[in-house]
Amino acid sequence: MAELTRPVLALALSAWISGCGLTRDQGKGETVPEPITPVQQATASPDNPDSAILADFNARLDNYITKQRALLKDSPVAEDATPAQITARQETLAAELRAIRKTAKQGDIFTPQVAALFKRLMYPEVKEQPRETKQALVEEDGEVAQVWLRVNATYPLDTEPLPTTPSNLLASLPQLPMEVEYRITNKRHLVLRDVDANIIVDYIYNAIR
Amino acid sequence: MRRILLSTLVLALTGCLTAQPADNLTAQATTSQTARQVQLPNKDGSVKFLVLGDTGTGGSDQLAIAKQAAAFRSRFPFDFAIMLGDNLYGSERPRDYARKFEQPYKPLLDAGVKFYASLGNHDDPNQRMYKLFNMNGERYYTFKPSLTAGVRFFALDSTYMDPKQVEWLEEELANSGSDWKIAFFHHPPYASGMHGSDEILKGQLEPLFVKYGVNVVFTGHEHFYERIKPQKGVQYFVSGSSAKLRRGDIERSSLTAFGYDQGYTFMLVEVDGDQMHFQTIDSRGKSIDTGVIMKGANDKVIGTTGRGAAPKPAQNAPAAKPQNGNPKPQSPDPK
Repeated sequence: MAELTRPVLALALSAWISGCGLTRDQGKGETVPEPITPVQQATASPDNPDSAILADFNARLDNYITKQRALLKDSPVAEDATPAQITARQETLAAELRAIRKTAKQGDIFTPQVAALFKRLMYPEVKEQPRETKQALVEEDGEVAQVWLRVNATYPLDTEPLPTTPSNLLASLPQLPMEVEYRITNKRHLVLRDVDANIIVDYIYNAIR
Repeated sequence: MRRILLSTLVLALTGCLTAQPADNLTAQATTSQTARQVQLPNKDGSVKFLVLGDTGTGGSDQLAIAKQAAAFRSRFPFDFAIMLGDNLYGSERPRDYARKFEQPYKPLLDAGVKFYASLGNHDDPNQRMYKLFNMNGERYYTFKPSLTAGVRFFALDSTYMDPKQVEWLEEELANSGSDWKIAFFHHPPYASGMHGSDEILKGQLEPLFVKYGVNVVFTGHEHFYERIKPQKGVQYFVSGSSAKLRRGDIERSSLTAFGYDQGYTFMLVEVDGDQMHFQTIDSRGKSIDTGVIMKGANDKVIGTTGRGAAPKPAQNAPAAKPQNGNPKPQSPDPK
């Protein structure tokens, strides 16, 4: 059975990598991999123990995205919307997501294994930076986003900035579909935020050490 | 070759090959300070636009700048504006879109001026759906203001520079045959303020800018105006004081060609052939900085002439931080 699932997993991971744009088509049908990142190293080989963790993360994320997209399909918004339409869509989507994810809790997507892996992936990016850069990683415009983290809660954009996620950290983590994004709050927590609904999907405490 | 020689000659005649040192740009009453005087060629057929950064407060300073921009438009008919992020501070309810954007810029919007926004760290990415920001549902996008002008803009989301966006940018730059490539986004790769240059962002974007011939970059985030000396053939501006201001925040460095942190500002820009003219104006309608960016045959900026003329601060304004003359280290605090 293990012999059977391994190639299937490898194929699935390969498809996922292509889907995420981690490889580049160079024309003439030839596809070559981008420079290897830790994430790619993990996904490139099913023998790498991290590949199973990443596959699990992607499956959980896909499950969320499928639900989110289904809801968005039912309430599309034009790309030239009015502010009232934007707000209404955001609030409706957030309410619907909360309704279908009533029992969602921290760790549903960022499982303990995923959290440990993500911390490990980000650590070199943080460790190798000078103190000023570390400070810049967690502050924005002299401000620190202080967010009370709770799954399904609204991200408090009214009162807190949306901290810039440094590009080196983004490059060290698995790429996300456009519906969700990584943000760092409270100087150290990694948040998975639904861009369209502006809600906290999951989070990792003390992701930056 | 002839083009380069000609451009060099023009630059030499107009004063300098590189931007003037900041020390030479002392406050002085010059004709450039005459209120509401357009100091751009204002030619028919040129590409004219407005640059606004860090606007979305809904406060009186935003209104003052918006009023000046509208007044200048009667003499310098720009067709569109680019926004450098932080388009809406704080709450983003429908009334905020009205108070922090639609009302201040109503005269411009009514006149048909198109606004192209980029996202800042205070902006909900859902702004990408807002019709009047012309982002077409994208966090980063490119546009040409006219089919014939040979100018292309690249609006980036510097708050979330993930590998997908970098890859997109590289593809778009590689496929752009435009003479002028202008990027705009929120966080400055070069700046001499409290936060300094964003080293991580610079590390990602600058190689692409240099490789694919981006000529000019407009950024905000720092709440002042700074013209950076051309870096590797790219001219950078920080223009994040169209509604917020950090007085005395510029610590002039070896990067600074000219800086102004004593008042609110916006920029008018005109692209005419191989020259890009700029004029930076304060909330009283006075010129703060003017100049010309010259592009060589290889698409690199070969020099910028500039004449900054910072007016004296208003009587009640807090004193500026002393400029101690010690340049910041070459790698200033990353942001």
